[in-house]
Amino acid sequence: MSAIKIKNLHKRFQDNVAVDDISFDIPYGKITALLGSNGAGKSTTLNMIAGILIPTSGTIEFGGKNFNDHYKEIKSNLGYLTCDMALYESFSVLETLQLLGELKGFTRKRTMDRIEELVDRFSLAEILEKHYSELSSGQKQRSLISASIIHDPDILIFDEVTASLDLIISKNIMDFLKEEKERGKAIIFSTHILSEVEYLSDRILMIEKGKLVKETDYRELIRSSNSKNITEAFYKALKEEAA
Amino acid sequence: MISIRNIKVVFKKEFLQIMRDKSALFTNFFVPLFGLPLYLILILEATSYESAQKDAPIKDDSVFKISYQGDVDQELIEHLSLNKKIELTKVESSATEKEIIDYRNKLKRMLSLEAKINSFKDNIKQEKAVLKENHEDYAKAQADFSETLKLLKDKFSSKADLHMAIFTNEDGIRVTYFFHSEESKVSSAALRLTKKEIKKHEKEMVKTFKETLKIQQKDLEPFYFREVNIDKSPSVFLKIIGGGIGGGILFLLLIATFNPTINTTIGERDQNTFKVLLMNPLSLHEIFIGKYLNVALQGMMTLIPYSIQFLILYAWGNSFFLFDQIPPVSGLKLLTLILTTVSSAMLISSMCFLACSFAKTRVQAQSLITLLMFSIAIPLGTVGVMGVKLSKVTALIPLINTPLATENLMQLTPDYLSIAIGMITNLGASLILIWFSLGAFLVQWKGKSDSKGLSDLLDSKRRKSKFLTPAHAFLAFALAFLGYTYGSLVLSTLKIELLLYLFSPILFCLGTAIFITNYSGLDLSKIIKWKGISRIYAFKLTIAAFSLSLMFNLLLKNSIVLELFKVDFPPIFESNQFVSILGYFLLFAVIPGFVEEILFRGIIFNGFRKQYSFLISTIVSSLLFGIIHFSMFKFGHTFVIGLFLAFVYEKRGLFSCIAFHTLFNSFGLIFGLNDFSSKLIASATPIHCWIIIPSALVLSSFLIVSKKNDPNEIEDRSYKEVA
Repeated sequence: MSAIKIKNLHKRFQDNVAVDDISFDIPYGKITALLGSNGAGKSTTLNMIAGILIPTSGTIEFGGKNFNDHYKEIKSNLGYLTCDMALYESFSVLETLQLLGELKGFTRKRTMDRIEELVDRFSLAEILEKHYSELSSGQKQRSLISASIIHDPDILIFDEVTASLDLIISKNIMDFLKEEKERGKAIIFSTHILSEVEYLSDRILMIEKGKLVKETDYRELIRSSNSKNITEAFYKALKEEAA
Repeated sequence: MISIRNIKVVFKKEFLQIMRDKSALFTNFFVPLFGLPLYLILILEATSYESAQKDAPIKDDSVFKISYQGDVDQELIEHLSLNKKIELTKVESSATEKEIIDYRNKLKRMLSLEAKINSFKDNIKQEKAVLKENHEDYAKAQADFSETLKLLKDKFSSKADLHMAIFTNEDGIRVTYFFHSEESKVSSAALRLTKKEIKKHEKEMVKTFKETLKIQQKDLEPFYFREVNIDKSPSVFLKIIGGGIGGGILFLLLIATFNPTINTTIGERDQNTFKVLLMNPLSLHEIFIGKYLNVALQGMMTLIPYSIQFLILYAWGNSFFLFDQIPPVSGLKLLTLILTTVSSAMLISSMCFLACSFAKTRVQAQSLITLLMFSIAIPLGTVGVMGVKLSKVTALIPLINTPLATENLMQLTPDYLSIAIGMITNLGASLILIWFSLGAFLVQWKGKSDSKGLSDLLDSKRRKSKFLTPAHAFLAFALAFLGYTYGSLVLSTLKIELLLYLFSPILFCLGTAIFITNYSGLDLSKIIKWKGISRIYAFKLTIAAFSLSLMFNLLLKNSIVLELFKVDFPPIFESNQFVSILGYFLLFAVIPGFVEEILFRGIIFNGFRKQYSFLISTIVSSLLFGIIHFSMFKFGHTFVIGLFLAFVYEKRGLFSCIAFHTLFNSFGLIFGLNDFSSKLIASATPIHCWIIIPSALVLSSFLIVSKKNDPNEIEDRSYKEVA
């Protein structure tokens, strides 16, 4: 069953078409990677799925429910994180998580229980009382991930979350995504780091100049392009598309 | 569908962000601190102008000119000549007595007809014909009169304010006719005269002449003055207040609030935190409304204190306003007093609600709400303390401690029975609330579902802990409160002996501090750290204490000490003034500085700081610091000083707090004991406040804004060390 069904999604910014008639499904229990060069339309697509941007045309359905008509219910089950997000600098990590729990409609007890789980999972104990402005970049990323999944959503949308992170933290995040996949969550993420695609993804969606050019998995991508590795396969695919 | 709950959460987030943002705090609180003196200046200038207009006397240099003719009594002339306000001129006039009598008669007729016309105006329809007829007669009479007036005017001196025509009748009695022309110089002056002034002049003149001339009343004609219209337009003050505040609120809610709301939204977007909100099940409307409400609240929070202050200033008939405009019986005064009490409670309550928003658990919120109730009980209980002397409540707001309010205050002698009843009520309510609050904290501290409250705490075998807790803080406060309440009772009831009796509550408070510190296992020497003091730092301390003390004295318009005594300082030791002065410094500067800082920063602030944020600890310790001075009518500025001292403690340690507090009180004493400075302060104008207040704030901030590696920066906080 599809967690998200996207049909003929289109987004125009004045004269610039950022996303041009994209359609795909995101299933539960799989990790879908969104690949493409800079300005391809990956972030725009993900922002529309997350409800941050309004599509110019097209539909997005979550479990058969239209986003516009059920956006509060859908957002209650959606976890969204981008590389350029930040938390409130004057709040501690704990206060932010509590605030987000309240916004999700949780009772305080449920919020605190969930925070305890996240503390164990992402080693937040040392930074819980610190303000966001006092954290290192790795600590910030862990806080942001915790903030995005405070409500244990079934659908995760991550946009280049491992950008500028070291290998260890990136690995932790990737392992986390794998665990969530094992729990049956639907995950879509975008990245420039091809090794992550290789490590994580079950499906690859390649977007170039706003269009969906390929829908495959990484083994098929390597095999069909006669490449040695995914990097080579990706460059070949881009070249092919440019031609 | 818009969810109120979501709006509430967004509002709460916005409120917390604003309260933690230094620039927003500066705009919301420090700018009004500058704005209030400016506002005061504008108001005072406007009302001074208005009162100057109303009270404008006839020129002091003007003399009352009298011309006279006829067979004058030299003795009268000599008597009048002695009065420097009277200028006499003899004129040669050929106006005869007949002409004057004729004038009088015509004047009488005209006046009576005028009166008749006025009385006919009520029944204008029925009396129209009669009115018309009388108008015709009046016109004729007016014309006759004008003719006669012109005749006489030509014969009188046109420069005279008053003309006297004296004739001796057949019986040898002088008959004097007084009148003046309506076109004489004094008429234009008379137009500026109020009715009161007219009557006053008339009475004085009649009195003078009666005494001198021994003439019977019936022979004196009243002066003919035109009706004087006093300007009845609404006072400038009311216009400014009504238009200013009403318009201000409307402007604030409808116009000025949208722009900051939009700016905060744009700010969030630029800081990349807006997506954090958007990823939640919130609509844009809910986000915007939550932000809007917070901005509106920030604006109201600065507007409300202003409004209350000015309402109270106006109603109390501050010396800048005309007191006789206020009705003697006071629906208004009572309303003002209620407003004063309620506003004090509101200000304290709002601080407590703010503190409640930081509560992490239900128990904490319960405890803080208990503190809130405690804070309301104190102001209301203070009314009971003073019995029916409600006017003493006005001193709750420092800025209205005007000379007039203080005068009223000191004229009211305390009623011992009402004080006793009020004190019992006050203390009883406070103890009950302390019990509950201690109980709530003990539940949290011990993790038990119930507790015996104070009895648990006092069980020394089980309660010996290694660090201070809020429970210790409350216990210290409760005991100190007893000591201070006793001290204030002593102050308000006894005279010469009081200063000696004051030693006992001071010793009681000191004992409390020692008891609590021992009980908690805290080593007092560890929290009073001395790292040596540089000359620059000593200078900073002195300047900060001096400027803040001057600022508060200016705001209170009198020395802090003079508030207590108002009359001459009773000497401690009559035989030796130097020892008396030393005694004052000891009692009101050195000892309070030492004892209060140990109690409020050393114990109470520390008691909260381990478990709560700096903000909560600051507010609670300052509230309690202010409350302890409540019965001495000093809550307002004491609370503010408490906030400042909390910052000093956090930055510099307890020694600095003790030093600052001692210096601050010392300067207050100097301003009060010294005739010169106390008069200087009493004569300060708003312009002085406008300069001194911001300067004091800036100078004192140097104490809490320290450079890195400042040798006086205390590196470790005592609450951490104690733990």
